[in-house]
Amino acid sequence: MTSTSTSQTINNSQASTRKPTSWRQIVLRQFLRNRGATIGAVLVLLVVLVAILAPMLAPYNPIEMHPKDRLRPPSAQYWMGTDHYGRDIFSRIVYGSRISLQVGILANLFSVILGMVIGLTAGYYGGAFDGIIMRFMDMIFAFPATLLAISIIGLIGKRSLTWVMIAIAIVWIPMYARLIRGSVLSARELPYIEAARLIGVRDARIMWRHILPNVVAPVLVVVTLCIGVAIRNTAALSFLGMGAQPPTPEWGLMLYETKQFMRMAPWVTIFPGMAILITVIGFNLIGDGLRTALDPRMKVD
Amino acid sequence: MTRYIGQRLLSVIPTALGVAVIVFCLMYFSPYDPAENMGNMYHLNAEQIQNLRLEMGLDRPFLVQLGNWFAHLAVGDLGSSYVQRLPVLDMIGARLGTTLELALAGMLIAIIIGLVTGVMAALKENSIWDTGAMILALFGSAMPDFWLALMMIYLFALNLHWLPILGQGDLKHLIMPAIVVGLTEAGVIARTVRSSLLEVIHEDYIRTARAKGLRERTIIARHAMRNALIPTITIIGINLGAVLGGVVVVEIVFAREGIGRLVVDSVLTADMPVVQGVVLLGSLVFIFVNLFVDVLYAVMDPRIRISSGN
Repeated sequence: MTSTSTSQTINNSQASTRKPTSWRQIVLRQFLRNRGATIGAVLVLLVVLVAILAPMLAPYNPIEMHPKDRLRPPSAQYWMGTDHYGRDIFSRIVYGSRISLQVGILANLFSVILGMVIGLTAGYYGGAFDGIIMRFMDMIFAFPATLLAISIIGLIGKRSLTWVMIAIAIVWIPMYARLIRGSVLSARELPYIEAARLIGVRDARIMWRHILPNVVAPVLVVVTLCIGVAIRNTAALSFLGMGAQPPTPEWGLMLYETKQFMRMAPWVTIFPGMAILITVIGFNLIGDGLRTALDPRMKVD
Repeated sequence: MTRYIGQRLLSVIPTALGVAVIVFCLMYFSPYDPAENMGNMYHLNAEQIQNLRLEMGLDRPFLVQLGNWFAHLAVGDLGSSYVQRLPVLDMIGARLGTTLELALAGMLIAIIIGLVTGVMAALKENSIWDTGAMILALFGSAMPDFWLALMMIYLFALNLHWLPILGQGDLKHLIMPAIVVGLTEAGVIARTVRSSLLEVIHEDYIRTARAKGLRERTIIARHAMRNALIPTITIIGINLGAVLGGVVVVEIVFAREGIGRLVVDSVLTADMPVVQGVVLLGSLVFIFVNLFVDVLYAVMDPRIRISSGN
């Protein structure tokens, strides 16, 4: 009696030590074991913290001009120097992190949602519907991305951060639609989906509850990688004068506004560029780490 | 082989037509009124603008306008610039050389650096060489090209005076822009070369090649690389769009009078026909380059030819 109960407790304790190693934990452990991914997570966390704490961190108002202190080198007063209007570069970079994160996340959210709707329905229903939708996606895919984004902005005729975000998002819809459709096609044939259909679950519910979870992992990897790319592309378009408008403290626009002063005041261009580089590297490292961490499970599937 | 190329060529036609329709729609549904735009430019009154609208056929139904667009395209007419009053095709043609020169030089640098670092990293897996190469690749693929361009100008032109700052023409002017385009694209290539070579290196046929006593160089060059190159070509093909985007931005920084400069200026001055023309031609070039890449696979990998033949 006692011995059985002991053996049961042993079994239970074994079971309870084994049980918590859920898929999520395995992924997390794999992710943390990857040195690059950890560095990436730290970098991104840093940028996120800077964005949240901006009002506390920035010593000056990012658009406030100090005409007497134009193009000052980095010092105790201005940590990263000042630009041609005497604005504090450090404060501008701190506030710029809010804009960059927002653009990177919103642009991806927009294209993921649309790509998901298109990819899910096309992949699930298949047939002629799928054929037509995916041909159309192929056509959008046939445009070089930056060129398409530039021309969308040009043809709409509005130069603002919002339109840059929308242009970048439109360009990426086909990529997400293809990715999601691919995962749906392989998930559609799984026995439990067929079972759900047999017991009369509605299509929308099958797609949402049973197919979508299969798609989350690969999409997550691409989203993390693309947040970095979106941040860089937004900066590039602002640098070309098509995105954020002065006096917004957007990193690309900061470079556009100050590049002519680079010879005498190199700090005006060095720091905004480093901010972009660090943020993009952070997201890329996380994306790579997630891909490796999620990979074993994908192969098992 | 000829049959495969023929098939792929045919499949390009609907995509190209679709792209032309999309470009037309972007213009048609854009809130821009070209007649009003020109009217503002030449200070016309409301009646003159209305006449202009009729003259340009902007009051016609959608399908008629679309038909006209294709009729003009068929004879190579992309319209005229609102600003410079020159045929769009001529304006693009005049700048094509500058852009091609930079795109090709940049791509060449990217392929050379990517191949060398990728192979080195794979052959010395987990060594300091590998780590170093991959850190470089990480920086390369995350680097904002316009910033790298500014930093290179600062270092090599403004401070060291080794190279001219801006402009175009000779090799000296091409070096910095090409390196910027090349470095930012090399990262992705290096990583692909490394991972595909690592995958191939553990295959049985490589062990067989070793067992029969081939020299290591022969094994890598003749047996491993040939298979490792297929994913690499895919990545290069996929990244051609990114190269075109990079060229646009880099041209602006280095003040090169190429197509990038043209399209950015046209967007900023609302010169719609030029924007439309550049996007259309850019996409067609992109489609055909991808077709070329597909054919290249078939040449490299007999399996693709056979499966498409069935």
